[in-house]
Amino acid sequence: MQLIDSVDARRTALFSIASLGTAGCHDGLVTRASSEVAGYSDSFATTVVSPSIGARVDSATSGFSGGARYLADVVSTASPDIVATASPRWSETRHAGSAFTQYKPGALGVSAAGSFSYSPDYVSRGGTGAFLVDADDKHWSFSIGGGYNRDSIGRTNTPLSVFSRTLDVAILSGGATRIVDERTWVNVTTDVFVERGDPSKPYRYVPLFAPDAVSGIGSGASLARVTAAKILQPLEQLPLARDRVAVTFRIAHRFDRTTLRAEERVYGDTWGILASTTDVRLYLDAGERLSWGPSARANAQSGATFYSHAYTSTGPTDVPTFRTGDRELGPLVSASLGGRARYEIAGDGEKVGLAIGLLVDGTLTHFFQALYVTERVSGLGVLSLEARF
Amino acid sequence: MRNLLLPAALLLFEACNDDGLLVRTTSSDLPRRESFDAVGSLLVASCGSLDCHGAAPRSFRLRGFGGRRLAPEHTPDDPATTAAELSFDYDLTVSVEPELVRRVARAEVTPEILTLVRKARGTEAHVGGGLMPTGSAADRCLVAWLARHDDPAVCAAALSPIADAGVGP
Repeated sequence: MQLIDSVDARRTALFSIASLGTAGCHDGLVTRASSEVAGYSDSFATTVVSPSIGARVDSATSGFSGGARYLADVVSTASPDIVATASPRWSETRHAGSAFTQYKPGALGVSAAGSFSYSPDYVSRGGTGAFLVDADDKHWSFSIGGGYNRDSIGRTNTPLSVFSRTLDVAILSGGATRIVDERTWVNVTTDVFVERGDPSKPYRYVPLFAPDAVSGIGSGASLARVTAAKILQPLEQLPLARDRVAVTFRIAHRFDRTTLRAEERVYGDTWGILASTTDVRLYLDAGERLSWGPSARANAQSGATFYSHAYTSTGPTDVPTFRTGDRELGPLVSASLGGRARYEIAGDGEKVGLAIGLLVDGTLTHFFQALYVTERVSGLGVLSLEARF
Repeated sequence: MRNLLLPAALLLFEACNDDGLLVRTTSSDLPRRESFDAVGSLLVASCGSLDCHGAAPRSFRLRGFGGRRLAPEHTPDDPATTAAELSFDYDLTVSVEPELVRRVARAEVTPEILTLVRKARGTEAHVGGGLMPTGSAADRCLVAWLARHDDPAVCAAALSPIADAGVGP
């Protein structure tokens, strides 16, 4: 899930670049259609191939915009967690669709969006809405909105009527953007997520160790060592409530032939996770048709208060109430380097615009407390084609 | 603005941290160990082969006659499932979903809520299929034990064909 989220986030980033390159080029109606193929691979033997198609319409004169997107994530993995349960390589396809619309004829506007995704063991649907307000001759823009998401967590090849859990998420979001001058804008956004339900993975078992054996289970302990030392292995059980807050600061500045965009996101939740993510990107103009730029990203987070890579137990009557084998809930740091390029095959002066984009990104993640592995190396590539009418 | 927001956010998160997340489940109202032997023998015979839940890395791993043994000097076919193996299997069986097993034992929910029961019945996807179909003697033996309404007669009936086939303890 987080893996797919990661791919989605980068795809969104690429789409933003595409929008940056074309937005405001035309008065009146602008229609864009795009197609992308994203590929992800990591050292956990996981691969994801994600083709997607999308379209959007923007009308600068009426203030209307709308769009829709469909993607499929074809996931295949033989990660250490899969191997640890003596299970074969696991593959599945996730289908996701989303649509949005916005109407903002003047200083006031509204927007709405909806999404749906389906995989054999996870169904998600949700919607959001927001009010948009411009002030001070559009030097300030504000938004406030909310949404609701309902996920059904199941098991592959088992009807949801036989086994399913529900996870409800209420979303509250607010933001303010300030146009500082003709070259600079800053933005602050706050997102609050109130989650209720059982998000525990129905496949994830958590090994427990005798208190006198746990000292031998260091971070990165091998499957053989874990197998020999574990005394029990219950299913994961996470807390049934989680409130999450993220505050994101963004700044963008246009130099003569370069645009700098920087972002800092601080995050915390009631499970005790605190995180910081810093993202810096440059967009360099290289002629009339080509733009490119490097990007760098750093992330650090603390672990959930109940997280341990090696829980102890003295027997069935002594089991941690909350337990997880998800190393993403433990302390970790990650660093990413990447780059992107966009080439306008047919430019602004022509009736039909056509652009091709490429994004590559590599990430190294270090897990401070985790079984089986302590590092993950991953790579992402996205190839996109966009037509503008 | 930024200087004010970050500490405020961190303070909020600190206030929300809950040390109670570190509590442990210690209730002992589990299905009875003393009446598990027949259930354990059924599970070992039905599910505990070396290529299935008898395999070492499995999360739900069983030990006993016909499969992997607890003592290295024992072989799959000798001796019969030992008391130590049955205790091992009992601990595993009641701790896969410890919270739900307790609720079943307290008759708060029906046994179908347990992954163990759904997979044994085959109502949930299971590589081994439905080895204990709903209503079969083996199924009734298992769910009666889980609900602390042990039924030795039905367990004996369930074990009978296993013993006749020579694959039981």
